Amino acid sequence: MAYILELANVEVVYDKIILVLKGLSLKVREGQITALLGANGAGKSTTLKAISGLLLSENGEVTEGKILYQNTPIHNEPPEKIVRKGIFQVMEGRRVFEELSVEENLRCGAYTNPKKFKENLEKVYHYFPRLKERRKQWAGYLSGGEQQMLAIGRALMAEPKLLLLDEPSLGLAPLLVEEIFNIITQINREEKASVLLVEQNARAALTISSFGYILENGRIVMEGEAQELLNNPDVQEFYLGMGHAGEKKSYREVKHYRRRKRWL
Amino acid sequence: MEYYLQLIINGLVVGSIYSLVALGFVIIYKATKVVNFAQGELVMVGAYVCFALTVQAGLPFLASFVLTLLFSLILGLSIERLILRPLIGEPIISVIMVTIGLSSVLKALVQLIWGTQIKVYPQVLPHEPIFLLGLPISPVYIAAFILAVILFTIFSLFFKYSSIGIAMRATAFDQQAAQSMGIGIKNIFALSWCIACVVSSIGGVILGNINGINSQLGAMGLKVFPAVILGGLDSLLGAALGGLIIGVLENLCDGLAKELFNLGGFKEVAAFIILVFILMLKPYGLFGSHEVERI
Repeated sequence: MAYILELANVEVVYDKIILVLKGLSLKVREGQITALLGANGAGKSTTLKAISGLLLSENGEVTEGKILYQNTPIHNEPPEKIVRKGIFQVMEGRRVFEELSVEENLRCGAYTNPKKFKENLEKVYHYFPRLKERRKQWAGYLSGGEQQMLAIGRALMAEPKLLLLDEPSLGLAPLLVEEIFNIITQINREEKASVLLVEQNARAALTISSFGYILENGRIVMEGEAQELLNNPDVQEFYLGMGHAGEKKSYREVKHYRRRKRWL
Repeated sequence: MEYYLQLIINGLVVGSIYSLVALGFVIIYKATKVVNFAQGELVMVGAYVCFALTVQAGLPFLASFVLTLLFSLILGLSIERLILRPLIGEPIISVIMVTIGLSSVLKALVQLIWGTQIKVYPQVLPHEPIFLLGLPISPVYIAAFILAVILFTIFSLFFKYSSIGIAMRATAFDQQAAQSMGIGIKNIFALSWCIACVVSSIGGVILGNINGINSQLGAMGLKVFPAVILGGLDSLLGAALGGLIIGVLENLCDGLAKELFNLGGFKEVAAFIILVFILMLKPYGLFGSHEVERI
């Protein structure tokens, strides 16, 4: 199995004092989708920012371990260099430039890759026809789903080899979530981009992934083939909302003091 | 009637210079959220450098104008590099205080080198007025106005169509998202300071050609505040119109005060009285952004 990205015992410290990732190791398979799941505050976004270099602007730093991209270390390099190497992070909450038009947003995405702008623009409009209809409009006036499409489209403009997606389903209606996830698989297949997908929506994420990691308190507590994770009773109880036997849990039976799972 | 037309024309010319300086101010504010109190001093430095090159070094005016632009480019770059870059991540208010310090330093340097006397530029454009609609207008006024219009056109095209211009707007909106796109925001900051210095020094050279220069030229920076606040702190179009409107209003108020009440020197305060009204009536200015609201 070829790996495009490898994190080995990575520690991340914010403001020189707050330890967020405590020796995290994971691998992203070349050409496949890898899911990174976990509860709020587990360190999922921090992991992505450590890879893309955006950590630096938040006063965070990789203090231990290494991040290898195509077998070369990239930790603590500035984000603009990392993007040029072919890693592109789609940030949580979409973060479109609201006062720029849709097309201008896409031009920003193509900032490091201006040569094939026309071609890539057509490609993005092919994936997201709705963006084409609204290409002259301010991105701020798009709906949430369209903004997420724009955020992914922006990434496509840079033709990344590794796409880091941070909660693409955040705040979207279930139908839209399905649409977005379909497009992610399509992009993964057709553009040959490896994907590291961070999600709260564990079921949707595991369904399209080949491998999954579960992150808690800054550590990987479980890893496995996506199908295995989907069938694992602990994962089912804690992330997929099912009871012990795998049947859907009813709120009538939920105890107020929920059993907490200790993984380690 | 002719008197008032003359006032309006003077106002437009002075206003176009305000607009230029306001442009620099707005670009820095948009990109970095720093209110640059040294903007007026940048005008002054540009004016003095061009003066030194033309009069003291004896270069032809056009050559020294180009060299001045080059100098301000380097000045902008070094201000950003030496003074502002180490402050990245510090609270914005400290950066603003530093620009106040910078303004004093620049002013002192100019006084140290060139003294406090008024210096006069050599005659570049002919003295005989050109008649427009029967009004005599000095050629330097027309040149100033045209130059300002050209520069504004260039910059609006730049921000609308060039990748770097769009990247600058993106950075102004969301620095981290811009970084995630591979936009080097430090370069964008440096570039904004360069542009601000260049447009200011152009403003300075034009002013020098009209009035001559002295070390009080930096007070011009204060006059730009009403212009940018009228236009909206983060709007280029606002800077352009704000500058022109303040220029015209200031001249008209001054003229009226002289005519009706025999008051002199009203010009210096008129702009600030207007400022107070703007802040009461329209605190975001004409084109300033509130945030986009989705419904």
